[in-house]
Amino acid sequence: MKNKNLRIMLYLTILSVISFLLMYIMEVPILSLVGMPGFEFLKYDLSEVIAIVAGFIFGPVAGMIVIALKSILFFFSGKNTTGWVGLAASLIAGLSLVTGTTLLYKIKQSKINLFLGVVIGSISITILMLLFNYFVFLPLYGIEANAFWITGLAVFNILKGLLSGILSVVLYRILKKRVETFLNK
Amino acid sequence: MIKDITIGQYIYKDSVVHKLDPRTKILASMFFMFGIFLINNITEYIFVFLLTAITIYLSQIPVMKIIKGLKPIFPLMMLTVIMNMFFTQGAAIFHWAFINITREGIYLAGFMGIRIFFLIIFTSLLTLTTSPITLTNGIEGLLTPLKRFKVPSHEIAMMMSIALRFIPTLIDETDKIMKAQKARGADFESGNIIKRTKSLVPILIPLFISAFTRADELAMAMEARGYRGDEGRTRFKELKYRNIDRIILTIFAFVLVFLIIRKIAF
Repeated sequence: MKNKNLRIMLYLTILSVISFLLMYIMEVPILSLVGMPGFEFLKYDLSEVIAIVAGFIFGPVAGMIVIALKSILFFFSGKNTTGWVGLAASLIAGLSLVTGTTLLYKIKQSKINLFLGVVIGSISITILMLLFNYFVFLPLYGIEANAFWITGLAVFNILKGLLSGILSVVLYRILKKRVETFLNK
Repeated sequence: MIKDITIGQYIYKDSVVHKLDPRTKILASMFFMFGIFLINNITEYIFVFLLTAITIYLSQIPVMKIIKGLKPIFPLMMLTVIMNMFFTQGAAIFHWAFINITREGIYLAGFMGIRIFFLIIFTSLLTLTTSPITLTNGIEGLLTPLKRFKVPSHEIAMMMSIALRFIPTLIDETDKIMKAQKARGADFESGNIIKRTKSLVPILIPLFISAFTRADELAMAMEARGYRGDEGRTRFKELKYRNIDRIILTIFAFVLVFLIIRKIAF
C-alpha cells in the first residue's frame, strides 16, 4: 500500500477507541483492593496499556497521540465527572507514563530497555502526578496536601505504572511478530 | 452489559445555546473554568449562579437531567467539603474531642463545594448542548491557527470523527471477544489483582489484531476514494462566527482578563 502515514494514523485511531472503551467499561478503585480505603476516586483502568503498546510499536509520539485522543473521547462521553480538571489530570498522567515507558525502547530496541522502561515509566508518572497534585489539583479542590494524600497518591501511581507497564510488555512480546506482518504489507 | 453504553449526553433542542458556534462554547467553557478559580466573594458567586441559571434556561435542557449528571461527583464534593471543614485553622465555633469546626472552615468548605458544583455543571452544559461531531469541528476550527506551528489540526479532527464513528463497532467487537473467551472458561471477575490482570491478556490480544485488520480495511477504502489529507478539501457545513458569538466571547474574555489582573495586582 502506498500511503503509510494514513495507515498509521488509522491504526492509532482504532487503538485509541479501544483504549477509551477499556477506560469506559472498567474502572477499578485498586487502592481498596490492596487494603487502602479512602481513595475511591482514584480509579485504575487499562487504557494506558493500549497506549504503551502503541508506543512500543510506533514510538513514543504515537503513544501520546493515543492518550490524547482517548482523553478527549472520554471528555465527550459524558462519563467524565471532573470536567476540565479531570481531563488535564488524566492527560498528564497518561502522557508521562507512556513517554517514560517507551522512550528508552525507542532509542535502542532491546529486552532490557523494555523492562527498564517499565520502571522509568512508573517513576515518572509518580513524580509528575505528585508534583501536579501538590501544586495544582489538590489546591484547586481546596484540599491541603498532607502525608495521607501523598502516600495514597504515590502508592496508586506506582501500582498503576507497574501494572500497566508489565501488562504492556507481556502483550507487546506476544504481539510483536503478528504486528510486523501488518506493517510490512 | 457493555452493549447498553450510550456515548455522549447530547440532547437535541432548538435553543440559542445549541445554535452557538462550537468554538464559542468551548472557549467560553474554558474561560469559565479559569474564572471560577479566581473569584473569591459572595457577590461574584451570585453572579456565577445567575450566569449558570440563565444559560440552563436558554438551553432548554431539563434541570433534572443536569442534577442527575452531578450524582457521580457527589462523593468527591463531600470529601472536599469535609476536608475543608475539619482541617482549616481559625476561630473555633464547635469543639468536640479532636474535631474542630471553625468559621473559616465552614466558609471555605461552602465555597469549595459550590465551586466544584458550578464547574461540573458548566462543563456538562457544553457536552449536553453540542453533539460530539460538532465539538470535533469546533476543535479543528480552534486548532487551525496553530497550523503554522505544525499542529496537524485536520488530521486530529479526522481521527476524532473516525474514532466516534467506530465506537459502536468496537463495542460489538469487544463484547463478542469477551463472550467468546468466557465460553472458553475465562474468568474476569474473581481473584486478586495479579490474577485479574492476567485474565485480561486473552481479551486484549484479539482486540489488537482486529483493530489492525479494521484499520487496514479502512485505509484501503479511504485511498480508493482518493483521500489525500486536507489540501483542497471543502466542507458541506462551514463554521461561522455570528454577532452573538462575538459578543459572548468578548464578554467572557473581558471578565477573565479583569479577574487575572485583579489576582496579580492585589
